[in-house]
Amino acid sequence: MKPVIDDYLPLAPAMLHILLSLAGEKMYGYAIMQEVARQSEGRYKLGPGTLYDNLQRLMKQGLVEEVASRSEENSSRRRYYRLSDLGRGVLSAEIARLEDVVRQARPHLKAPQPGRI
Amino acid sequence: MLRRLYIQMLWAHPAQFRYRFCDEMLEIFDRADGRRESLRLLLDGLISLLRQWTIRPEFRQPWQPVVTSGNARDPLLFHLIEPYKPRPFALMQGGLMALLLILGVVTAISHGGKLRGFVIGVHHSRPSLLPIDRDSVGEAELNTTVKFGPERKDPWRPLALSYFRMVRMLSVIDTDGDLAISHWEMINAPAVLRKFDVDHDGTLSAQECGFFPGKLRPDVADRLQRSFMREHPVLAALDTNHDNEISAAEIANSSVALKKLDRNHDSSITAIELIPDQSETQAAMILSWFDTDDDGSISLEERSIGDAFPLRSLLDPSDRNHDGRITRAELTTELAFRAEIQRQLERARRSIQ
Repeated sequence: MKPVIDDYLPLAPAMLHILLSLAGEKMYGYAIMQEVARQSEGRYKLGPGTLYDNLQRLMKQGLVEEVASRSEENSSRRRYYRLSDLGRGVLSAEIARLEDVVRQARPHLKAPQPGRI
Repeated sequence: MLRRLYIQMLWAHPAQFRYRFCDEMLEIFDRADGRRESLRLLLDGLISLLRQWTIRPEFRQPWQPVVTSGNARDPLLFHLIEPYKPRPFALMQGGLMALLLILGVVTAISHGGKLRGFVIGVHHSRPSLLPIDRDSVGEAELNTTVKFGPERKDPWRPLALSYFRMVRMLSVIDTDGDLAISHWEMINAPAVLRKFDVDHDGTLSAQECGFFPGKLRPDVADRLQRSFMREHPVLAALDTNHDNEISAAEIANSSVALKKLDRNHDSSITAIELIPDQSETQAAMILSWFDTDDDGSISLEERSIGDAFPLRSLLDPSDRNHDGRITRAELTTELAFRAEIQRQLERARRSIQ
């Protein structure tokens, strides 16, 4: 049975940031943490415990998959992760949902007219 | 130090998570810049540990080892360490050994006196430490006497003893003879009181309660009988309708009536609460003489009869609420007040002399 993308939405902030960081290329854990910090301009810092817990869940859900290590990498400890097709679809859907939320929110966030409650 | 702590904390993670991620987590920890960052990672690891054991049961399936291209130079590789599980037979063997050991220790302790000195709980002292003359023990007479200290004297006891003998009903209600009526003795009072009903008419007359008229004139005997029933608090409390006899209903209600005498509410009526003071006795006596209609008070009409005239100076001020009726309480208060005045005058007179 084909999974429905809407079942995965909305994404938790940590999951969204991990998927976003993996949107470009495959990465290992430490690189994901740095990418998340870069994307959020240092305002959101993932700890390794949170990162690997979320990666574990994302892999179980099939949104992220592990890939073979780069041959040029020296360290055998590193595991690389990338977005699956399903993960990419979920990320796209989540971004569309957030865009919709932002579009809906903008008129309400305009400064109120003087004299109006 | 922090690194060692972090490794221990990583070891505490569930096996599957540990083998899969802990090498990388340790690598990240090694890259930490400064002590503060290391502490932050340690805290993050602790939270992760809690999370994995509490809300991630789905990731705790048995781990299957994966063949990886490990580097021999790496000092610590979590994914290369085989998960260790003791064999069931070894567990059974260990359990059996532990059981046998416990049984042995328990047996040694329980039979300590019969076994040799090396057994736990046994100590043989040398004879030189505690010399015992066995011959003298065998022939000696058992002449040890135990002396108790002097018995504490209760100043109320002689008075209470004589009062309980005088009012025989009290000594019967007080079944344990401690000169106090306990809560259980109050509850048991109806059954005890019924034993006083000698003529089996269902009521207790003054004579059955202990009044002895002797060879007095009937009118004098009648007044003394009323005085008897009113001056003793226990009889006055039981005779609630003041008819100088305790009816069947009053006997049945005696437990409740007796509780009213417990002025300090300690669930026990002591001699202090039972023995009337002088004012109460006098008040009961006066009431028995002048309360001709037995309603428990002296009315204006009863005060105006010839016999009462000499006592008008006492009776009139006794009516403190000016309702025309002098109750026993009012009379007792007036008599106690006069006695106190008398005592103070006596003291003043002595100080002048």
